[in-house]
Amino acid sequence: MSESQIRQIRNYLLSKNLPIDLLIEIEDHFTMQIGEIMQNENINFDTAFYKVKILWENELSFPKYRIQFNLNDVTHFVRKINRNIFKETLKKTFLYSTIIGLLSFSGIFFFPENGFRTFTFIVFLVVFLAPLYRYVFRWNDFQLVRKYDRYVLTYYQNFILIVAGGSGAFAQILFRHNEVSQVLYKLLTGNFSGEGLFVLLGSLMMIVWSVFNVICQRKYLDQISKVKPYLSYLKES
Amino acid sequence: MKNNSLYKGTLQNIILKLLSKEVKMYGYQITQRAKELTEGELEMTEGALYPLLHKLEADGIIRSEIQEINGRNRKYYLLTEKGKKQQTTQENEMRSYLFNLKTIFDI
Repeated sequence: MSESQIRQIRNYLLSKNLPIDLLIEIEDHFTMQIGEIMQNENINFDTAFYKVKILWENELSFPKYRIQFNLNDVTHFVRKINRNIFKETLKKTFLYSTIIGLLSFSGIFFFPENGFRTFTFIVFLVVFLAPLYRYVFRWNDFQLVRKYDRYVLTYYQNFILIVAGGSGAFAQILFRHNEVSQVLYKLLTGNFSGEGLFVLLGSLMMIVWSVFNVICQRKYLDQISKVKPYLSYLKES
Repeated sequence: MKNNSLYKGTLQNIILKLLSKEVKMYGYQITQRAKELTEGELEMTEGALYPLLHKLEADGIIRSEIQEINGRNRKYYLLTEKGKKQQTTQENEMRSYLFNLKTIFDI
């Protein structure tokens, strides 16, 4: 297949707003499928390409009604994939969040109040800094989203901005750690109060925020390493 | 007579088995190999295959790597260690299921 034919396939798939990490394999699939049809049916590229478009029509069509929390038009195919990825990511988030949550509050069994405060401060500090550290350390990779903002490089880029959004809110838990740990200690030693439950909920939300970000960041960086060779075909903003 | 709906619940087993045998495969190759082994009976749709591959990858059962083939990028899928264990378990369950089905249909 010639370079211009592959470019035709690529442009067609780009018009379908496929995330680039998915587009790479769909482009390969299209190329192989078209090549096989051309060979088996002894037809030219344009006819074979048309046939493959028809075969993929259902998957690559856009929903009639845009009832989705996404500013980009997303095909049925991509919605299905995104849904599965999001479910798996959420499952992992809740699993690891539960483990870290239990670890954070386990200090109540081993330390007196002062020790508990120090222990939870250290755990909360690590939890808070984990996504920020990676975001700063791999800044260039995260900036690719802005550099190529005409495209969706990978589904996971949708969640990267949550790092910035959540960090301001959750930083309060660290700045006011003395009060927070005092309230938590009282709650965990049986003195229930509305304030205690509120602080506990806020702490748990911070843990979930951090774990979700770390998982999405890791997946994003994984996918970006696969997308990078393909960036030469894309237009920068 | 083809009835693709019977294969719906077993697609994951089929994909994991193929990957265990071939070590690494790309999407189109998976569809063609399944079609070849079943002499055209099983035609895996892309709409079923790729969402499942991405789900398995998100779950850590398989992993992917990009290789350059003839100047083009190709994504290969491989089983992870977790995937190998899961494949063995699922294959044993499937064999038991098929044996039980056969017992019923042979009456």
